[in-house]
Amino acid sequence: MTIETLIQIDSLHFGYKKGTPLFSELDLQLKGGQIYGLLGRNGAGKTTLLRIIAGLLQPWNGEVTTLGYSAFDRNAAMLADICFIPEEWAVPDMDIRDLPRIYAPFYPKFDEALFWKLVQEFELPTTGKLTGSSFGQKKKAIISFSLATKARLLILDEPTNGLDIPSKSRFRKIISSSIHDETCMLISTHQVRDMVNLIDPLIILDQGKIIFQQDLATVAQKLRFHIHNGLQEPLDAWYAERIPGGYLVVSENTIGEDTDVDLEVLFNAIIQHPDRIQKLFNA
Amino acid sequence: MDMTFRLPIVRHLVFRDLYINKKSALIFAGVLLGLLCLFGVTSKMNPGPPDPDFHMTWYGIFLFLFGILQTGGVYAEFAQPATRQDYLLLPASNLEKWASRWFRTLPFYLIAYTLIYWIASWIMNLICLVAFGEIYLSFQPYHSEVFSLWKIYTVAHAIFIIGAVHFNKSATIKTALTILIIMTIISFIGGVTAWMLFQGVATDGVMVNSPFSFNLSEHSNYWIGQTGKVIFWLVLIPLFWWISFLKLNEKEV
Repeated sequence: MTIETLIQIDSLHFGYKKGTPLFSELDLQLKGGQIYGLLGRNGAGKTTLLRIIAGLLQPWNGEVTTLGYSAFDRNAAMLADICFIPEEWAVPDMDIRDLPRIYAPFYPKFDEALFWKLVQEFELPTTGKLTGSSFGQKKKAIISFSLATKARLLILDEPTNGLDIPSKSRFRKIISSSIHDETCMLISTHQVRDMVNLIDPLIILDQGKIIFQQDLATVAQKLRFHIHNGLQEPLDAWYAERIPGGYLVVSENTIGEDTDVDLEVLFNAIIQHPDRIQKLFNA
Repeated sequence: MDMTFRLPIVRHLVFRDLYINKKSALIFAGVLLGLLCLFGVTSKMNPGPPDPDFHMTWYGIFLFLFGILQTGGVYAEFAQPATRQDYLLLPASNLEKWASRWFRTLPFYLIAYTLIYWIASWIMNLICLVAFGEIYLSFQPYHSEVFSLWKIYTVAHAIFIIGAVHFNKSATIKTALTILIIMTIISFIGGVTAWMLFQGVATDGVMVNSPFSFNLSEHSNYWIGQTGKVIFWLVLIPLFWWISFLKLNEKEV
């Protein structure tokens, strides 16, 4: 069975101010069956890219195809298969019980039983106004609803913000069990430690360009993540981060050792040495 | 441009809107009832015969007041990026979204408003009956003036719905100001043009030196009038609605 391309971006040009493009000639292809992690510094254009993919912003130039439709057309069939949970959202002024009643008719694949199952898993109250709930509870209600729509494309912008520690692990469990070959998730986050064992492949956006797009198996094959005990930075370090008693080090994996990828350290290494890293991965 | 149109989805959109705005609808009905009772009872207290135009005057004023406020604010969610995003991502085509708001602010509003006014007029008369022993004036919803007001409201609606989609915040006020500015510009240009064309025309209505003279027959006048009406109702008003639909298509977050 072939894995379908769900998002195809070709030569995207976009900016908020005339003459100041945020993206120039940006290309990206996202396939089904993956949970993509979109990382980048503040102002790199992560949220803008997510909005363009969802059809909320019109590209200056280039083609953005989401689920086979031109994204900005906001085709009804495309929207029924997308769930976008932004960093800031507005919950409707309604009881949680009314959420499926009011919104489910728009989603043909909506699974109400799954919605209530997720509500239970997140330990949410099954009655009461959403507007009166805490930020974390609102977020959990929206995540539950989004997953119950069974949309093929789930876009999440900083999904773990506002979630307590048990909810974060529940979130990871629920998300990883929801992915299959026809679906794709795109998660933009700064909280990379919350996304350990969840996001793969990794996309890094910097200064309006995709500077890195690799799966974690390839990363582990090419780079080595280890702790170096001592006061001196190791000589072979591509990137080293001071920790109590030593350094957290990223170096080229010349010995073929299989180490766990530390997303935060990897991100910092890529941002500091984009050309060196790109050269290694393109070799 | 996605031109998908599914009636059940439009119905769900209207239902969603009514559900979310149920408080505002109740407030609107309450204010209408309160004001009508106040004006009705006050008028009844005045000596002399009842004002025959009472209902048509207040029906018209409230129709435009509430209607314009409602139409101007029909895309209130555009004021905040989060709510704008929520609305634009609702799985319905832009045509369905536009149609649901058009339906809510025009046919649905006209019927619902007339019904609420009619009920309010009954309550007002009931109060008058209890307080003064007789009713004030009954409201006739099938009066030809009601339909004339509906026609004029349709024009206002076509303009204000463009403003509602175009402006993200304070759409009603901004639309009203835009109309005022455009009307002032048109009046100014019209005035200057007329002055340039008809300078020398006598003030008593007798043309003296004007190079232009219009001597149209009654027949021509009739046809010009009819053509104007057709252009206005079948071209201009739908054109305004179409513009508002195109504006919705272009909306971004």
